[in-house]
Amino acid sequence: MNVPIAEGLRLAASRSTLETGRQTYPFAAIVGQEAMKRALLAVTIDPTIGGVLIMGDRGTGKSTAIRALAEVLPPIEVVADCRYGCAPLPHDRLCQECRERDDLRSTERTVPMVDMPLGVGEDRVIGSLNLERALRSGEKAYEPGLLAKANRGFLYIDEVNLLEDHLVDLLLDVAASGENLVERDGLSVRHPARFLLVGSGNPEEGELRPQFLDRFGLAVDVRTPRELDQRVEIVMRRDAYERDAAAFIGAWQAENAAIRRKVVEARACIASIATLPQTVELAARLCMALGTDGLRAELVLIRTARALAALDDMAVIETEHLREAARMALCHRLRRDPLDGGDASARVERAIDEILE
Amino acid sequence: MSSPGARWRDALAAVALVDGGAGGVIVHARDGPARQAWFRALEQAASGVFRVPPSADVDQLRGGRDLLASLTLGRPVHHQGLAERLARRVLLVCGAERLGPDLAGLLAETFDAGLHRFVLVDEGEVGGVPASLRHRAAMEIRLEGIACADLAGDVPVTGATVRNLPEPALMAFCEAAMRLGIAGSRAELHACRVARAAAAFYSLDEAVELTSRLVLAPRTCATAEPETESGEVEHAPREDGDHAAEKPIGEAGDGMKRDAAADRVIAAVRSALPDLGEAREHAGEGGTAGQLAARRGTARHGRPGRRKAGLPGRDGPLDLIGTLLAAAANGRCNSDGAAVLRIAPADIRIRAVQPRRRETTVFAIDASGSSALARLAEVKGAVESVLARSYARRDEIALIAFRHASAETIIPRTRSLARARRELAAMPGGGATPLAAGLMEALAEAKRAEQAGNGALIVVMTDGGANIALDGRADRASAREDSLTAARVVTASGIPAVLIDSNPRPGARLRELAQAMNARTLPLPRLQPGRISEALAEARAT
Repeated sequence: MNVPIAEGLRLAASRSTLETGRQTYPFAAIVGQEAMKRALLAVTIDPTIGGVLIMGDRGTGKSTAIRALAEVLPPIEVVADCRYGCAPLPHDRLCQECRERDDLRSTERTVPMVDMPLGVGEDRVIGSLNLERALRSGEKAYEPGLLAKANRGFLYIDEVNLLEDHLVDLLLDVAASGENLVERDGLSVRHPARFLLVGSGNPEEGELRPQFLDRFGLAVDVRTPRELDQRVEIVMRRDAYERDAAAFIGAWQAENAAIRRKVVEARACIASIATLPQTVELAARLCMALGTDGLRAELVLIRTARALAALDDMAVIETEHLREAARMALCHRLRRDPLDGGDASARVERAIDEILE
Repeated sequence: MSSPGARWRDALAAVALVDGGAGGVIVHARDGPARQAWFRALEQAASGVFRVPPSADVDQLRGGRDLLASLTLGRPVHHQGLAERLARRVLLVCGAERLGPDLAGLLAETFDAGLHRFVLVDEGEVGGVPASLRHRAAMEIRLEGIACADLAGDVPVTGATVRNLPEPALMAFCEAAMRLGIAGSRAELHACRVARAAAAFYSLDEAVELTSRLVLAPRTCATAEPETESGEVEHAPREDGDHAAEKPIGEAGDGMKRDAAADRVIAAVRSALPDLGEAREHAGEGGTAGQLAARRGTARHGRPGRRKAGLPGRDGPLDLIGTLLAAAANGRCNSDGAAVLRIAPADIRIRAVQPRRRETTVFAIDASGSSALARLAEVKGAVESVLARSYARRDEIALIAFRHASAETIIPRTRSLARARRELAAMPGGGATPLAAGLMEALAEAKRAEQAGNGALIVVMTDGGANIALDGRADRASAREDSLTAARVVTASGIPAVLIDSNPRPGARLRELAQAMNARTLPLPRLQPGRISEALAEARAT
């Protein structure tokens, strides 16, 4: 998505005048967890990378970061009153309902961040017949579900490794096609459902199916901080936020805005970042050494490295970006041997040391 | 180590803290005088208690469109969500270990949204309170072993609230949490909030100690990662909660400053630990929500069966929404042409849920010398390949090795493949063959799996040369007899079994055993990994 810089900055500036009903913890105020923050920003800069899987102990700030992300990102332009949040342009991407309307006004809104809670029923996810209207007036109207609300945004699944199989199947289908197809209860509806999947969970509690794991572009581990200072800082900030959220958010607004600007600029300049042939070769060698399946790993690796370079405002992809990207993009693609659990990151590190000098 | 009287005083303090909004409480208590007294105290102190049964309907509690009311009144009517209905009352769930995943999810959402005044009562059944909710509750108390004579005292009355917790106290909690190996940051956050509230009716020092007992001690048992000499934190396997309590609580490495305040906090935690230690074994780590329901076969989750037509009551409970949807989809009208809902018998739907039964494969492996080390490597390879396949279906495995004089459970039932591999790699070989003991141990593990609601399958890999009897005697004749008897017990239990013959030249030696166990035999040497899984699948199906 290429938004001209001026337009993007205008949107970013107008952000501060938008009413935010929820008082979300500011992204900039999150202590540590650099890998997770970089991974999240990378996928917002280049959504084709895929979703992000965040694994780690409970209480390490995973859901805080994800909710904070939606607030820090620049708002998007949507067609007013569209249930799926269609973008006004390009025309061929509009949903059926928008295409049938003549007057399309556009408005702004925050990037959607939809929670898929554990134990949610299928009906709520894909949507269902609007029962009330059906009973009252006999019309068949579609009541959109979570997938519709998440279009053009994020779908966040906590405890993703405990997600029930039939829901995993559903998500795999939708993620592959970018559309949600509802054929039940006398309905036949097709609507756009393009979103970034963000999953978090505790790896000790279960494994993800390989096809599902593949849907995630990047995978990061979050750990409980080992330094006392960090732990204390986390508690103090959180405490301050809970006592007076408005003041806390105000104090961090400038830094949050800075992050937003960086994202906007990164999106604008990513297309012009040079990918040197030697970078591509290094990426290929890395993937070959690690025995990743297919070409997907290399593509994700390069895209991630490019997004990171854009975030750092560089004109070309440096080796350090490739190194950082490798850690995020490759660890979960080594799963030839599912029993290799803990060794994956060590293998990746060794390969990085050997090949990326 | 703390007396029942002291624990009761802490429990009363917890009442004041819950009511004040310092955080939620998990109460481990079966029905009895102590629990009743505690509930009475809670009802008196709080502005009311709102009970939610664990089997409550999630849709009712979630809030949203009230279908029936909307239709009746002809305009959209919403019923209130949980948080609104609570108003100022304390939420109480008795039997929280019976919560299904949907209600647990809703509660977790509500707690995250800012509800801190809740009490979850764990009555001690299998599984324990779902881990996601335990994590969000600030405090945990136990009312077991408190006699009527100990039930003295009143709920402390809250005085002026303390504005700020002094920084040294905050740092003490953080340092203690770190040294105790408590993962995540929630523990310290809960501790700060609780300590601040407790300081309104206790002195600061007492408040800090109370908080250590209520907030930090329960988390220590569950997640302690004991530190080794070098200060590296070693990851103790989750299942061994009691191991963690035995090892000494982490001593600080050279680089860390020892804070006297942190020491006091840790001392307070230690004083509360033995109380929690034993109960941890019973309660487990707090299972995934819905475990108990799955075991009983009353699960409401799992792949939803197609909305089947059927007779409610006979075939299953009525699925109201499904019925209405079916009728609405047909769009019947009455003679005036106005749309009216007519429910025909063909429209009636019932809830038919098929919870997916997890499978547990219990491996009993002959690790004796007669099996020879080379064989053992093959055996391990075969086991690994089966594990590789079972992980995709999220099945469990358990591993029992028998050698020398007895059988040992190397891997208790687990889904964690990484752990299985580690244990497998470290498994030693050599010694005599106590086959009967191996079979009995495998059977016990399989029965435990069945009790938990899983399907079980026993896979025995041996060369059949039993030479150690059940009582440990090195007598070949009785060993053989004992192993045949054990095999018959396995058959009697109804649990399917597969025998993998690890003899270099597979032959008649195991035939007797296979017959007694009613098991299919597979020869190991020519066995391809794929074949094993197939055979296991077939054995399960029969």
